[in-house]
Amino acid sequence: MVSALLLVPGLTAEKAKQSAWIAIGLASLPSFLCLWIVWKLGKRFPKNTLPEYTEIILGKVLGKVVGGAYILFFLLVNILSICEFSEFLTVCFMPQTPAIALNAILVLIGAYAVLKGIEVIARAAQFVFPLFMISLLILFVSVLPAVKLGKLLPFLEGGIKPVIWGSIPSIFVYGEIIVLAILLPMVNKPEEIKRKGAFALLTVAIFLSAGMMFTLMIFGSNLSGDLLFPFWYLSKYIEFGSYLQRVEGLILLLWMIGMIIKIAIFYYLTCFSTAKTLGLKSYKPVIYPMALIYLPAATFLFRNTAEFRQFLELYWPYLGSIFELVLPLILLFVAVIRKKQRRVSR
Amino acid sequence: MKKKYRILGLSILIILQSAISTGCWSSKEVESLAVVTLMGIDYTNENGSDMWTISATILNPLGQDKEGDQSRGKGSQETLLVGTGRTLQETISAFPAHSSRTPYYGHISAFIIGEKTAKEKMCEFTEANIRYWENRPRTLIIITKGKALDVLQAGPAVDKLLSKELKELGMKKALATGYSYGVTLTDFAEGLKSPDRDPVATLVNVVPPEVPGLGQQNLMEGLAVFQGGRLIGWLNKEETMGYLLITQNINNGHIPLVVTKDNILFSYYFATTKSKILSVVTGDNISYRVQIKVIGAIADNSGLRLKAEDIKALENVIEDRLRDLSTQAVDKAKEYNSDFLGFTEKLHRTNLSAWQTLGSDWRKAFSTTEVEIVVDAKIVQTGMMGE
Repeated sequence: MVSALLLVPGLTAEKAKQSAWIAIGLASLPSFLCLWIVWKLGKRFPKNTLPEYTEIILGKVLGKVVGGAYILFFLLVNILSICEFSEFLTVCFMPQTPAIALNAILVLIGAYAVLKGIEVIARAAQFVFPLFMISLLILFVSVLPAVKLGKLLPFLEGGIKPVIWGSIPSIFVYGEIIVLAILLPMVNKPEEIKRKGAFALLTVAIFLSAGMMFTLMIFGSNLSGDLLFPFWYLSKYIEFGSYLQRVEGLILLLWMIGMIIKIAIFYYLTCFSTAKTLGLKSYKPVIYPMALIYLPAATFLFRNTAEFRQFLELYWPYLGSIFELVLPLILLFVAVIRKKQRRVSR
Repeated sequence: MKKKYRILGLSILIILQSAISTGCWSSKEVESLAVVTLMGIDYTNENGSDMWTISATILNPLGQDKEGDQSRGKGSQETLLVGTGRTLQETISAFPAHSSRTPYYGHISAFIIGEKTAKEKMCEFTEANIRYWENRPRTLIIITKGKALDVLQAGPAVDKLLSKELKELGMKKALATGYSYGVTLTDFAEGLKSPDRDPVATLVNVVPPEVPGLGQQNLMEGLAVFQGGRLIGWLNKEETMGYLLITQNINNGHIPLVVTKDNILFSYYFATTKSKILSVVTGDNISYRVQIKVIGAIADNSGLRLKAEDIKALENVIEDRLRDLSTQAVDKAKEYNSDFLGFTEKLHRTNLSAWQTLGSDWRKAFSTTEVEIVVDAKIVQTGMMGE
C-alpha cells in the first residue's frame, strides 16, 4: 500500500479519468481470490511454506522450478520497490543525489532487518502502521476545505471499460497479499488470517481509493493523470495561511519508513525461499549475496522514470497476476486433484 | 569477535543513515541560498528570434543589509535580479549569474507574467513550472498588462516585501473585496488541461499614483482571460465581480455595491454569496441557469430611513444591479469566445450526452447559448440605529 500510494494514482487517473477512485477500489477484488487460495493452500499444508509445498504438489523437479520462479518474482518486486523509492526521492526531493547511494542505504537497512528475523520486521511494522494511518487521515482532513465534489462528475464517463483498464495497474498492489503464502506458517494464529487478511485488504482498498478520490476532487482528472506523483502533489498542496504548510516532509518520513518495511519483508521472502529451494539450513548466508544482486539491479535496470512507468503499466500487471493468481490457483487445483495435504515436511 | 563486527556494522549503518537525513548530495546550506520570492517573466520576439527576460526578487539575507542603514523607512527587503536569454531555461540560469548564491524556488509566492508571454508562451511556461520539483502548487499566477519587470520595479505599497503583499492580496483580500481572485498554479494548469473550461489568472497592474508624493504602485484589480492557453482579454472590475458572483462562493467578504433608489445612493455590502449553475437541456436546445444567493448589509450611513417594505424594494434594486454585473461577465465570456465561467464544464458533468453532441465546437456553442441569471439578495442588517 505504501508503495502504491505514489505512482499508481497517476497511472490510474490517466486511463479511468474521474472514475479512477472506483478503478482502484475495483482492483482489490482479485486479491480476495488470491487470499482465499493462499488460505486454502495454507490449510492443506499448515506447517509448510510456499517453496516447500510446491515440491510436494508438483513433484521435486517442477516444484523447484516453480519455487525458483517465485524467488525471481519476489526479487523483482523488491527491485521495483527499491527503484520506486530512489526514483521518487531523486525526482521530488534530492535531484543531485545519485540513486545508487539511496539504494545502498535502503538495501543495507533491509539486510540488517532480515538478519534480525521476521519478528523484528513485524514489530516495526506494527509500530509504524498506526502512525502512517493517522498521518494519512490528517492529510485527508486538511485538504477537505479545498475539495470540490463536482470534479468526480460525470460518473463513469465512457462506461465501465476505462475503469477496468485503469484498474489493471493497481491489481498487483493488492496481489502482494501472496506474501502470506510464505508467512502463514509463521503466524501465531493462522486460523484468524482469513478474516484479518480480508480486513487488511479492505482497509488498503478504502485508503487508496480515498486518496485517489481526494486527489481527483482537488486537481481534477486531467491534471491528476498528468502528474507523476499526484498524491505527493496533494500533500504539497496543503496550506493554511502561514502556520500550516510544507507538511509533505512528515508524509515523506512515514512513507520512507513504510517503504523500508516493505522492502525488508520482500528481502526476507527472497532469502527465505532461496534457502528453502536450495535446501539450505538457514537463510542467513544468502542475505549479503542477495544485496549484491539488488543494488546494481535496482540502480541500472531502468534508465529513467519513463521506462519505469512503462514497465509498471504494460508488463507488470500481467507478470504480477501470473504469480499472484494463476500459479497459486494451479497449485491449489493440482493439490485438490492429487489429494496432497497435511504431509509434514521431510 | 562477533559482537565487535556487529557493533562495527551498526555504526556504519548509522553513519549512512545520518547521511540520508542531511540530504547528502542535495544538501544546501541556508547561507548559500538565494531565496526567490517573486519571478517575473517577459518574452519578446524581435526580428524572428525569441528573447526572454526573467526578473526575480531575492530575499535579502538577514543582517546583511546592503546599504547598511536602518533609516531608509519604506525600503524593500528584496533585491531585484534580471537576466536575459533565448530560451526560458537559459534565462533561468542567467538571472542569478551576478550572485554567488544558488537560487531556491521553494518560496516563490507568485509568477508575474508579462502580456506578451501570456499571449504566446503560457502553456510552455506552465508545464515547465509544474514539472519543476521545487515549485509549490499554490504559487499565484499573475498577469500584467505590459511588462512583468515594471511590476517588480514598482515594489510594495505598504509591506516590506512585495511578494508577501501580493500573496496576501491574492489569497485573501482580493476575493473578500471583490477586486480580483488569486489563481494558483494548480488551478491554472487544471484550466489549461480541461476539455471544457478556460482558465483565468489574477491581474496586477502598475498604476500611476493617485496620492501625490508616492511612486508608482501595483494594483490587483480584474482578471486576465485565456482561451486555449492564450491570453485573449481582460475583465474590468465590474465584470470581475460578476465572475466572482457566478463561480465563487464568497465567505467573510466585504464587497461594496452602490445602488440608487429614489435618487438616494445606498451602499450595500455583501458578505456571503452562493451560486449554482444549472444546465437545462430541452431537445437540442441547451441553456444555462445561474442561481445566486447574496446576503449582506446596508452600510450605516446617516439619514437612513428604512421600513420593512422599503427593504423589500431595495432588495429588488440590489438584485437588478447584481444581475447586471453577472450579465456583464457572461457577455464578456461570449465576446471572447472563452468559457471561463464553467458553463460547459457543468454541462459535461451533469448532462453527458448533450456535451458529447457539442464536440470540439463547445466554445462556439457556448457563445450562442442563452444564460438566465436569477439573483436572490437579502439585507440582514441596517446598522445600529432604528428609524
